[in-house]
Amino acid sequence: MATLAANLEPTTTATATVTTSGRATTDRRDRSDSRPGPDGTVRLARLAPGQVGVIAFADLDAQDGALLRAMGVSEKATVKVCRVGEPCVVAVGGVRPDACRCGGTCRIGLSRRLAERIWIRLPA
Amino acid sequence: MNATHTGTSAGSEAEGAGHATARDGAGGGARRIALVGNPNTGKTTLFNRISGLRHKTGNFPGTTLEAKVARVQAGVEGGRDADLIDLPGIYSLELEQEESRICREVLAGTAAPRGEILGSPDAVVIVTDATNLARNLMLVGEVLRRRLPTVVVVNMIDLASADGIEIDAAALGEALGCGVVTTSARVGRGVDELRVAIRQARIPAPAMPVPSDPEGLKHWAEEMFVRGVRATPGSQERAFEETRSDRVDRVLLHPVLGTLIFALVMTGLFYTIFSLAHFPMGWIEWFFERGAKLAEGVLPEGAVRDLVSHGVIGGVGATVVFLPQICLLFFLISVLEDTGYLARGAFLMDRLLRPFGLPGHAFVPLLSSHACALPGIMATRAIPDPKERLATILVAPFMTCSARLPVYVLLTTLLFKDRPAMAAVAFIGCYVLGITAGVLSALLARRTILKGKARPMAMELPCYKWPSLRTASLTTFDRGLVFLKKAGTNILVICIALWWLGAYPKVAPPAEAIALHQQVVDEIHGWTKDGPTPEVMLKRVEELQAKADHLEASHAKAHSFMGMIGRTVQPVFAPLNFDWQLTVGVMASFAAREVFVSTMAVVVAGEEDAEQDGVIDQIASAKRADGSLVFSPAASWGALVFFVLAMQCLPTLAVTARESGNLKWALLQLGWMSMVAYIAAFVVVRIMS
Repeated sequence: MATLAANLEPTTTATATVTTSGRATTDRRDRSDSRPGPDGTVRLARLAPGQVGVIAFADLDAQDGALLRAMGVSEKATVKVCRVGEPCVVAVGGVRPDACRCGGTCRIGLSRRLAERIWIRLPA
Repeated sequence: MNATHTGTSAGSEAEGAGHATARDGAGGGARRIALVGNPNTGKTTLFNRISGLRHKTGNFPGTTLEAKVARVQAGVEGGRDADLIDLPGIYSLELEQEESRICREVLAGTAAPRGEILGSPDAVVIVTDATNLARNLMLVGEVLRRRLPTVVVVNMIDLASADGIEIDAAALGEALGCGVVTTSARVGRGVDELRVAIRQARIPAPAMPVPSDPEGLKHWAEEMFVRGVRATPGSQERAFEETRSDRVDRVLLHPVLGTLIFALVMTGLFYTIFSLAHFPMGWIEWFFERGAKLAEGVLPEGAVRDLVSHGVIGGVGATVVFLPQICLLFFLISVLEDTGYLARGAFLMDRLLRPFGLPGHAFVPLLSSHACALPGIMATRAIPDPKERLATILVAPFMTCSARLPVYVLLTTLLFKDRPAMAAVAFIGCYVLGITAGVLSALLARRTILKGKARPMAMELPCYKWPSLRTASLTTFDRGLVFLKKAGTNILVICIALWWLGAYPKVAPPAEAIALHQQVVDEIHGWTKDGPTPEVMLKRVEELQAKADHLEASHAKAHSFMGMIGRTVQPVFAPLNFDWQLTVGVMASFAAREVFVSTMAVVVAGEEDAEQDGVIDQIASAKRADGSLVFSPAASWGALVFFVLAMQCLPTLAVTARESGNLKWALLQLGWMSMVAYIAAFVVVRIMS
C-alpha cells in the first residue's frame, strides 16, 4: 500500500508508513476520529451505503495488507460500499475503467477495525 | 514429472525453456495434476465432478490441512491415468498462511499429501470464477510464473453470462499463453473438454511477462481480463448494481434481526442433530446388540466369545453409533455453506467470540459440540487461522455434550429428589459452567501457548444461491468415511481395551452368591404340592436368582482390572469425597462418560440397566465401608462439577490428536481439563461439606 508520508499534512498526527515487510506503526488517532484524512480522503468505515470511491491507501500491518491486496482490495481499486458497520461490505472493482466490472458480484466483508484503516478518495 | 521445472518453496520462477507438454501415454506411473484456485471458485465442486466418490482424504504432513487425491482414469482418447490433488483455496501463493505455503511447496515439488511421493506436478489446473475474473487472474499470473504445464478453467460460466459477461476463451488463452476451458462445474458442463485440455497442457508463454510485484501483477491481471472478456452493452453502466444478495444481506447482517435469525438457524441445526440423529443411533445400537447376542448364541462359551460379542462387536457399535450425528452435522453445514449464509454467520458471531480470542467461524463447531464434541472438532476445519483452529479444538469438549446428560440426570436426581425446579436450574448451570470454562480457557490459551494477534476478519461473501445437494451428499460421505477410517479405528481399539479391563480377570463368585444359588436349588427340590403355588414359587426363585446374579456382577466388576485401578487411584480422589466405588465409576467413564451410570449401577446394585426399578434408589442409598452414603451431597456436587469439566471421552481425544496433527495437543487437552475439573470439584466439595 502507498506510503503515507508524501500525503500527510505537517499538522496531522502521524500515521504509519505501510511496507510489505513490517508492521505499520500505530495510527495514534482515535478509531472513532471522523476527521478527513490527507488529501480529503475518508475512512471506508465512515462512508454511507451506495457511495463509490477509490482506495487511496491503507494503514494495515503487512499480513492484513497482503491478504486484502490478494482479495482485490488494493490501492487505486474502485470500491462501492454495500453495507457499513460490522461487517463493512464492499463491492470491489478494478483499477482500469474498462475493468470496472471485473469485480462482478464479488462482495468482501471487512471487520470495522479494518474498514477504519482503509482510506478512500471520493470523486470530486 | 516435468523435467524442466526446478522450482523452490520460495516460489521463485522455474528455469526452463520450450513448450514441453504434459506427457501422456509414454510409460511411467500416473501423472500428478494439482488443482489450485481462489476460495469460492467451485474448485471442490469441479474436483468432485471429475473424481466422484473415488478419492482419498488425508493430511499434508505436519499440518492440519486436508488433502484430497483422486485417481482419474485415462479417457477414451488414451493417455495415462492421473492423480488429481485438490489443494486448499488461496488468494495468493505469496501469503504468510499455511495454505499458501503448502501450495507453494506442492508446486515446487517439496511437499506432497501423506502417502504420495514428492515431485512437481505434471500439470496445474487453475480454477477461476468467471464472475470475478480479474481478481482470480492475479493467482493465475503467480502460477504461470512457475512455468509448469498449465490449464486455466473459467468456472461458473453460466452465472457470468447471466451477468452480461462473455468470456472469449480463445482470446484469453492466447493472452495467457496456455489452454483455457470454460466450465460450469455445478451442472457438469465443460468437464470433458477440461480432460482433453489437461492432456494437452503446455508450459505457458503469456503475451505479457508476469510482473513479480503486487501492483504490477494487478495491472497485468486487468490487462488479461480486458483482452479475454467481452462485456455486453450496458454492463459497464450496471457495474456495482445492487444485487439480490445485497438486499438479503440488509436483513441477514442486521445487528439485531440478523443475530436473531442466526440464533434460530443454529437452534434448528442443533435440534436436528440432537433429535433426528437419535433414531438412526437407536437403530445402530439395536443392530449391534442383536449382533452381540447372535455371537453369544453361536460361539462356544469362553474368552473368544466374550471378545467377539462384547469387545469387537461392542467396540464397532460404539464407533458406528457416532456416524448419524457426524453425517447430519456435515450435511447441514455443507448446505448452509453452499448457500453463502455461513460466511455471514461467521461475521455475526465474530463480535461475540473475538474477546476470547476465538473467531466467528468457531461458533458452529462449539455449538455442534453440545451434541457431540467429535463432529464439532472435525468441523473446525472451516477456521482459517491455525492457532484459532487449535484453540477451538482444545476447548470444544468443555461444551456439555449429550453423553453427559445421563450423568447430570442421575446426580441432579440424587441431589434434588422431588424438587424438579431446582434440578432444572442445576442442569442449566452445568451448561453455563461448561461454556464459561471453555471460553476462558480459550482466552488463556490465546494469551499463552497459542499467542497471537486476533486477526480482524476479512472474508469474501459469496452470492446467495441454492445449495447443491449433490455436493452436500459427497461431503457427508467423505466426512463419514474419514471418521470411520481414522478416528473409528482408534475408538475401536479403545473400546476393546475398556471392555477387557472391565471383564478381566475372571474371579470366583462371592460366597453369598453361591449360597443364594444353592438356596434356589434347595427350594426347587424342596417344593411340594402342599407348598406355595407354582406362580409364587417361580417369582421367589427368579428374585433369588436375580439377587445372586447382581451380587456376582458387582463382585466381578469390583475385582476386575478396572476395579483394581479404581481402588488404587481412590486416594487421589479422596479429597473430592469419592470412595472406591465412585472412583471406579469415574475411572471407567474417562474412556466414555456415558458408561458412568451403568458402571455405578453394576458396582452398587449389580444391575447394568439403571432404568430398572429400584436401581436409582439403590444407588442413592448405597453405603461406604464407614456407613456413610456413597453419594453424599458433597460427593454428588463434586461429581457433578467434575463431570461438567473433565475430559472423559477417549474417542474425542483420538479425534483431537488427528485434527491437530499432534498427540501432544490431545494430551494437553486431557491434562488441562482434568486439572480444571479436579480443582473446581475440590472447591465445591469444600463449600458443600
